Amino acid sequence: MPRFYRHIRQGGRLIEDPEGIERPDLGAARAEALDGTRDLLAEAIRHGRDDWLTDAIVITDEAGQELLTIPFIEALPPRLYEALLAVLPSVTRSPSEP
Amino acid sequence: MSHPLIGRLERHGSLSGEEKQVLRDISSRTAVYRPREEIVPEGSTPAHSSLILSGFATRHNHSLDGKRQITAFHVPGDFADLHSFLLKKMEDGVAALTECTVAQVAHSDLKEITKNYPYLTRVLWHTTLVDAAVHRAWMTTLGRMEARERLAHFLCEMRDRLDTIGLMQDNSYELPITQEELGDAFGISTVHVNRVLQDLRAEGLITSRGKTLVINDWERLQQVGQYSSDYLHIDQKLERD
Repeated sequence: MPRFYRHIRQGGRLIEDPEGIERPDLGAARAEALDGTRDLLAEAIRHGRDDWLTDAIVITDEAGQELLTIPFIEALPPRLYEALLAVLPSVTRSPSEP
Repeated sequence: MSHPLIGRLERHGSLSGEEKQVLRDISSRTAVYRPREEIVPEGSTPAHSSLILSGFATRHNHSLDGKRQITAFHVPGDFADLHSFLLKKMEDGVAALTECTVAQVAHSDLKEITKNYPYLTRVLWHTTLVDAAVHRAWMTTLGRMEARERLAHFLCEMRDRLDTIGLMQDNSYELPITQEELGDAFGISTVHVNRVLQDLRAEGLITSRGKTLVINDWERLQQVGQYSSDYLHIDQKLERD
């Protein structure tokens, strides 16, 4: 099974995932990253923090090749996501389900 | 090779030569398990209890929809299922995390110990009480702490548990546990586990070299994890007869 790395891009900084996770394909890795992001956001929201609005997950393969960038806000319920996308010009939609 | 259970039990007071020999005798039948191999299957009724001699193991339950909850990490010297001696049917399972050498201690031998060695009986009982205390500590971190505090608490706990069996040196130890396994133990996603560990690294509390974890700031890590080792009762002396 291929191994995918889920780094977090926060402004100019990249919080690296040194370990990665094995998933059958990029679609499964993407679903896992979105689930993981929801868990991360739930805690941030409980603390009233919104410093993650422009953060993103960057999925790479074992060679470090960037495969997909998923903005954090994409993990929110659809109407919230669309509303935020409209007011955050620096955030771009990720390519649809690979 | 020193016996990890004897080393651990002697923290509570010295054992007689005869008691040590009994522990060596009952743990002489061993088996080696590969990483992720089941040591005690969920729902089984083993005729022996599994004592970890080397390697790391987990205890886990699965929800009916297949999700795994890791309820304990076991290290050398831990009797992963001493309770199966009396509870018989395992409602949870034990699996190897790394390659594990496990002593299969016959329940009939444990019965003999309870008949003939009252002090050994009490000190083994003490280990199951500490296992329960660890579960309560985890429950508290799961219910009342955030991911960062919970993982910091666990890293502190592992330091002290590995120290009692000589597997910790200069605030550094092998931690062969993946993000996925930590996530399944502490109810958080792997993305979140990595984020928390990277934050702890960025703040200078820990560093990692491969599977080796180094605690750079023991005081602060304990503060972050709201950790006190009291529940491990490591050096608590037990009364002899």
